[in-house]
Amino acid sequence: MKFLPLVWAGLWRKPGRAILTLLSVANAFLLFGILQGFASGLDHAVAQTHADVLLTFSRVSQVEPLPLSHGEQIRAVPGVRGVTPMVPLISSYRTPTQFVPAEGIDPDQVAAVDPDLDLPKSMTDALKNTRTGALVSRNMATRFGWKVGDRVPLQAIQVANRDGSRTWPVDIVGIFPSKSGTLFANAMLLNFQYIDEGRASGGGTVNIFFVRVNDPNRAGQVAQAIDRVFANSANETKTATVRQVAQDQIKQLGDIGFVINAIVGAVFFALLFSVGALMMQSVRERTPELAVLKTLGFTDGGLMGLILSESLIFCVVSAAVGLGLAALLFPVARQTIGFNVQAGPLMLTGFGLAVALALISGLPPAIRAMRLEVVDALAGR
Amino acid sequence: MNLFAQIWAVTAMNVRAMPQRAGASLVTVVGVATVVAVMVSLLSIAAGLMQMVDKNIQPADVTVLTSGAPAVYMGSISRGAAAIIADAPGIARDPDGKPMVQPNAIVVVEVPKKSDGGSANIAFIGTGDEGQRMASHAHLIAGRRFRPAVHELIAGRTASAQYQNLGVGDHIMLRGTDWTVVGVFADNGATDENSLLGDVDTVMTAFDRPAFQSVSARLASPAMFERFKDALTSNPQLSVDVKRTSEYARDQLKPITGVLNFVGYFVGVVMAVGAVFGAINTMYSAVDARSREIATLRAIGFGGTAVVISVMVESLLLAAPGALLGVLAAWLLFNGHAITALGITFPLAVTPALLELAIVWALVIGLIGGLAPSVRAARLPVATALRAT
Repeated sequence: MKFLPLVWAGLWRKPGRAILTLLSVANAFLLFGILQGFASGLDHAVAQTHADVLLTFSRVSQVEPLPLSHGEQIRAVPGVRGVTPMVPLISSYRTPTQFVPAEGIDPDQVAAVDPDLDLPKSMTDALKNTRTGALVSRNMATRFGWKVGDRVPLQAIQVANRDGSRTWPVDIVGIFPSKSGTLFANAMLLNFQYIDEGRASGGGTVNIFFVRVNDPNRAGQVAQAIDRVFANSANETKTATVRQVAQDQIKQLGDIGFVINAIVGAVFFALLFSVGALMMQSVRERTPELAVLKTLGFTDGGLMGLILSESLIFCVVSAAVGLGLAALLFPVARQTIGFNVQAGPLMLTGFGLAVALALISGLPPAIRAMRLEVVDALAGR
Repeated sequence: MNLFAQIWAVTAMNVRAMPQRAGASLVTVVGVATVVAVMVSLLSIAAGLMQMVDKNIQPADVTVLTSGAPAVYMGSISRGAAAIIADAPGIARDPDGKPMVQPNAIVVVEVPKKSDGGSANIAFIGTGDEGQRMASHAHLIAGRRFRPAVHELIAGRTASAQYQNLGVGDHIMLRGTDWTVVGVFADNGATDENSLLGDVDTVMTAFDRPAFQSVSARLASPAMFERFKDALTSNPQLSVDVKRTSEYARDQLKPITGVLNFVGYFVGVVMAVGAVFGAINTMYSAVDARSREIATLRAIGFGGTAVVISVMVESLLLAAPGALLGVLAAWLLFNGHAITALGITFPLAVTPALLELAIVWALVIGLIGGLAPSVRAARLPVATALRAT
């Protein structure tokens, strides 16, 4: 510890160079934090889904419509606690980038179906009694400055209205709390009836049924029972837990883990060179000083330790800067896309990488310092 | 000595001294190469998808969809409407004098995967003689063509390889009907290699479809598009959208390629920032190491501009090979490497456009990296620098 000032002085020998290298290392750790944070948020989102919520799609594809009457038949399956149709009305508000994910649902059922949704009866009643009503999550209301009583013209991206336009006026009748990481944390809920009767085509059909079961341990059996009801009919179904569906969708995207590891690997390969070059240059320039230290009684090992500590402190400080910046972004990710990043394990891996980087890139200059011959070094040979 | 001669002289001197600072120079080269390699690899995914579209679609091909339908398989075009479309102006004629128009039935079917026993959804396309004629790259690699009126189909090469019961002679149950696989076809790597083909009327009867899903047509020339489109969209008997097939395919892929490209550019920009810091470092140390030479040149009358430009040139000279190395690495690792994402199998493509982008990216990194050090080099106080050891 008493050599800390010496190590510190060695680091800041050329402040400009040190700061530039620090920034490039910090930048790499920032990227690492963002990418790993994304992956961990994705894993966390999947892990958080409820085991007692099922989704029923058409067996053929998730966009193939099912008849609305399937809903009643699903409700009759033993073990089913509630079911609501879900029809997306993906829209924008004033500009195309003001994205509004709106879902048409059954107001009587939705609170029973989604365990995360905190809807008082007065709110679902208000939605039920207003055909064009809309319940808005707190996040969305804050973002667009909406309050109860506002009339909002939604611009649907795909679904055309009966009048041929894609404009869907809705009236805000309630604002519900946004629980981070839940399905509707950033969404708007509309009457299924309003969308179904208003749309130009596809009336009486549903893409997804949202099903809640009584006993999460029997979710698998209930899912099979639902699919059996429609087996060999013209509209066969496929029912799975939300978690399975999420996992399948992520798998569809390809191997995200591999891509992230490959990027991080390439970035750290480049860092080895820049940190290595910094340390090597610094050792070369300090040859006479190092020789003096040896003359004063520093052992070979001590000198090696000195250089390695320099590299270690440098990398850990840089990593802290980069990871700190990334950590500042995590709350933003929670706000905007509902991702709960697990910062703990991520930081641990990050600092582990920093130590590895420091040891590998610091080793060649450290060995060079260790092998210095005092006489030659002092003579500048 | 004029400016250019001065620049040339200083730059030549710098370049000759490069090997002495191999370590520091390597930081720029490796830094730029890594940025470029990662970015080009990521962008090659979307480029591969787009290349597959471009390679296989004729510019004169058009697709007629139901108005407002987001994808062909969600459309509904009646036989009467299809007949009107076939009479529209601008359509090419086949050697027999018939219009090159093919109404299609498109049914999504579930097939079992070979790999893990799970299932996947692929398109079963009902087509006919004109459709086969338009798909000029498609050819059978095993078996024979399907016959109409019996439940026979041919499977695309990728589908046949990936899913169970799709070899020649196999039987497969699709939505409750039994089909015989009579052939396997290849289509130059196009998306339809991951689908099944059968006779359009047979498919419609078997799957109880009252109408076609889309109509494909080939125009006499790509320039006829507007006329053809106007004729259909202004016809009150029809409610259809007309798109060039290439445009339709691109639109379908746009959400995917948009995300992929965003990720590529995002990672590219963040990494480039890091590489700029590395490049600045390299050039500062290059200037430092040569401060005496630079001061000497200034003392004997070389201008500041020549010094500035020569340092910039050196920075660019380090960045450019980085770009080439990076693209080379991406090309060796990934070009032509087939991946499966979102149910489509396609090869990644490191295209000339990506090489261009990589070089621009690298030069910008080099330029920004060289800026501050070059100004410092020019401002070096001559007397002090000459005295330095």
